[in-house]
Amino acid sequence: MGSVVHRRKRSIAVATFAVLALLASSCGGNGGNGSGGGGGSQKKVVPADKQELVVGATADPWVDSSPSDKKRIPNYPLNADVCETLVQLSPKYEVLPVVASKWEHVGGNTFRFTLDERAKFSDGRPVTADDVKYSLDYTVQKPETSGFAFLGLESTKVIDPRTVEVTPTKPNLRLVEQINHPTYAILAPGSDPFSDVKTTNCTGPFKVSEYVAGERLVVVRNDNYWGEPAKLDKITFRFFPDDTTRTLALQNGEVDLVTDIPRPVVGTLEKVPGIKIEKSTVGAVLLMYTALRDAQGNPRLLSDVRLRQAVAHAMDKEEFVNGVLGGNAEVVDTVAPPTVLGQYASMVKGLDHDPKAAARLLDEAGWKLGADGVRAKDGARLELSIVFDQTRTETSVVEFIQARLKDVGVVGKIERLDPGAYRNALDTGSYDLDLSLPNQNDANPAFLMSLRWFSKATGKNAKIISPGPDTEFERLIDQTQQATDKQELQRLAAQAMHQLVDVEAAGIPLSGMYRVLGVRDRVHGLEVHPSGTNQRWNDVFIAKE
Amino acid sequence: MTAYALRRLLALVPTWLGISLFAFALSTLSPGDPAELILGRQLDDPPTPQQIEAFREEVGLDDPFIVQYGRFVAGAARGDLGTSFRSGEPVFAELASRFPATLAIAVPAFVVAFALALLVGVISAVRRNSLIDHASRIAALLGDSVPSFVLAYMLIIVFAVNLGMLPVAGRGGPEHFVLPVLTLALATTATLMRLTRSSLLEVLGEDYVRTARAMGLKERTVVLRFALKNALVAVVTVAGLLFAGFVTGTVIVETVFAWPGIGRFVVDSIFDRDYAVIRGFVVFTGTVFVLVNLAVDLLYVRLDPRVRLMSERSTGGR
Repeated sequence: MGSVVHRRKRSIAVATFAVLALLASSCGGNGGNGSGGGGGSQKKVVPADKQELVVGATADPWVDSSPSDKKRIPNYPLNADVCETLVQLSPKYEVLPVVASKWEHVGGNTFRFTLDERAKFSDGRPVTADDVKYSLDYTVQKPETSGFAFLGLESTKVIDPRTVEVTPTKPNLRLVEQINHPTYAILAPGSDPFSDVKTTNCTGPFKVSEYVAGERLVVVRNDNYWGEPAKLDKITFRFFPDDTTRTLALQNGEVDLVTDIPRPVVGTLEKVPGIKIEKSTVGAVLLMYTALRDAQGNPRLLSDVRLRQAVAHAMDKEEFVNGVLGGNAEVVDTVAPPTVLGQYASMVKGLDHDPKAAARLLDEAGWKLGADGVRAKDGARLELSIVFDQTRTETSVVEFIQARLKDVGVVGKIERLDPGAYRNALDTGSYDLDLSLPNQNDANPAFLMSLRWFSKATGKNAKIISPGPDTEFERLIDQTQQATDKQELQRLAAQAMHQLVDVEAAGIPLSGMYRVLGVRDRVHGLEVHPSGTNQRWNDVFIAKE
Repeated sequence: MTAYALRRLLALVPTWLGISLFAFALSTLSPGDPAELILGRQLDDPPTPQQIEAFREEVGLDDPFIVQYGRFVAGAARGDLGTSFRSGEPVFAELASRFPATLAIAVPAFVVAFALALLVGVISAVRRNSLIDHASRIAALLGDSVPSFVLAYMLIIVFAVNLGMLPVAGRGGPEHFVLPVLTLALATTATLMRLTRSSLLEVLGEDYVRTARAMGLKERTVVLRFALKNALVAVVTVAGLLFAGFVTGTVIVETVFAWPGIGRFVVDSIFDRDYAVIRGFVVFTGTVFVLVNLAVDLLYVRLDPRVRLMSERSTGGR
C-alpha cells in the first residue's frame, strides 16, 4: 500500500514563513483574473487553443520514495493516466470496467474477465488475453512489485483471445476489488517500464513522451485511445520536493495545479486571486497503530486492552481536526475511509473522547495516578513511546497526542525517526504507538485490516499489532476474504473494524484526510480522486482566460 | 614547485586511506547486521538464519575485517563504491549522475561569491569606518544571520512571484540558474567578505606596507599588488573549504529549488540507512576535500613567498 499524501516534515518556522510568504506575494498584484477561489462562476467555459497542463508534484516518487514502495513509472505511485487496469476504482470506491468489460466469479478461487473489444494499445494494436497474461506475469516476475503479488505465474490462464481467468495463489476472493491497483496495469508485450519507461505501451488516454529523473515526466495525448479522448494535448509533471516552493510555483503561474498543499497554507491560498482549492472526499485515515507485543512475541504495555481503550478515550478528535489540522480534515471513527464501507460504516462507533473513562480504565489496570501527575504501577511510570516517520508526519500532530495522554496521566515519549529507523522500529516492535496515514487505494473495505492487523499477513509488523489469531476480528477478516456479495463484504468488513476499533482498540483513528490540490482557475474538469494512485486526467482541460 | 606538488600529492595517499578506513568502519560498526538489513528489505518475512548465513557467504561478509576493507579500497580505487541498497544501482553511478547538476550551480556560485567578497572586502578595508564599510558590514552580518532557506524563499518571492522575472525552481535555461546560484553565493559571500576585510586590515598595518607607502607607491599598487596577495592566504583557505562544501552537495538549495543534485540524494540515503551510499559518499567527499586542500596548498606557494621558500628548501630547490 502506498502512502502518498503524507506531509513532509516542516518546522513551525518554515510553515509560518510560508504563510507570510503567501500573504506577502498575494498582495503583489500577480494574480490571474481576480475571480477568487472556489470556481463558483456560472459563465460558459470555452476550451483554450493550447491544451497543456503543468502539474507541480512532490519529489520524484520513482527516485525519492521509500524502497518499500513498489515503484513503476509512469503509473505508480504517481498515476499519469498512461496505463489502465482490467477494472478501475471510482472516486466513490466502486469497481468499474475499463480494459475488462465484465467479470464473474466462476467458482473456487477463480475469476473470469472478458476484455472490451474496443480496447487497444497506444500503437493501435488491440488488447488480447495474451497481453493480459504478459502484464500480470510481468508484475509477478519483477522483484520490485512481487511484494504485492497474490498472483503467481500459473495464476493467469488464457481461455480465448478475449477471455482470461485469474486465480490467486491463496484463497481470497478480493481479486476484483484489488486488481485496480496501478501495478497490475495492462502492458503490451515488450513494454518494460522498469528498465526503460519509454518502452511503455499501454491503453490509457496519454502516452509517455519524456522522463527526466528527479525533474519531470511528460505525457502527451494518445491519439489511438479507444475511449473518450483526453482533452489535454500534454501534461508535464514537474517534481518539487519542497512544499513551499511548489505552492509558490502555483502562485507565479509556473504550474497550473499542485498536489499535496501544506494544510497550514490552504486558507491563505484560497484567498489568492486566480487560484482555487479542490478537495477529494476522505481517502486516508490518520491513525495510531498499537504495538501489543515485540517481534519475539513478548507482550508490551499495550497488550492490556484497557490501556489501549484508555489511549483512545484520551483523544479529542474534534479538537484535533479543528485545531491542529485547521479544519482541513474530518472526524472519522473508521480506520479506512467510511465510503468504502457503504451503509455499514455506522457500525463502527469509535471510542469517544472521555478522559474520565480513560482514567477509570487505567485505574482498573492498576496504573494509579501519582503526585507528579503521572500514573505508575509497581514503581514503574506509565510511559508510552510514540514513533513516527519525521519525513512524512508533522511533529505538531504527535505533540497533540502527547498532550492528550498527559491529561490522563500517561507520559508520551516522542521518537522522531528517519525512515530507516522508523521501519526498523516497526519491524522489531520497539515502540508502543505508531502514527501513520495509510491510503485506501482499492475497493476492498478490509484491505488495510488484512494487510496490517491480520495475523496471517506477510508483513513483519502484523505480528506485532495484530489482536491475535483467536479473536473475533481474525474470524471476520477470514470471512471477508470469502464473501461473494459486495453488501456482505462491506458488512463483514464493518464488523471486523468494529472489533478492531471499538472492542480491541488496536487501531485508533484520529482524522479522515482528503487530498487537497491548488488549481489555477483556468483548469477545469478535474475530479480529485481520494486515492492519488487512481487519479485520472482525461477530462481535464484548460479554459480560455 | 613540481617536486613540492608531487610530495604533497603522495602525502594525500595515507590521508585518503584514513578516510576510506573511517568510511568502511562507519558502516561496518553501525548497529545491525548488514545481511539482515539488506535481506529485510528484499523479503516480506524476517530472513531465516540460513538465509542470512547464505547471504553473508555470498557477499563476503564473513571475511575478516581487513580482507573486506582491502576489497573495498581496491574497488573504490577503481571507482567501484558498491551497490545502493535503495535503488540497486552502483553507488558510483548514482553519485556521478547527480554530480554535474551540483557542479553546475556550485562553480558559478563560488565564482560569484569569491568575486563579490573580494570586491566588497577590499573596498570595506581600504575605506575603513566609511559609510560603505558600515553598510557592507551590516550586509555581511545579515548574510551570516539569515538561514539559506529563508534567503532562498525571499529571492523566489521577490524575483519569481512578485516581479515574475525568473522561474521559481527546476532546471532549464540560464534563467533557472540565477536564484540557486545567488542563494548559494550570497550565503557564502558574507563569510568571505568579512575575512577578506579583516585579513587585509591586518596586512595593511604591516611594516612592509608602510615602507611601500613611504616609497611613494600608489595606494592602489600597495593594496592590490602587495597587501591583498598576502591577505588572500587566509581567504583562500576558507574559500577552498567552502568550495568543497558546495561541490559535495547543498541540500537546502537543491531541495528548495528542486535541483536534482547530490545533496538531496545523500540525505535521503542517510534517512534510509543506505550504508553503501553513505560509505561511498564519505569517500567521495573525502577525495574532493583532499584534492581541494592540495589545490589550496599549491596556491599558497604562489601567494606567499615564505611558503614558496620553505617548499624550495624542503625539496632542495627542485
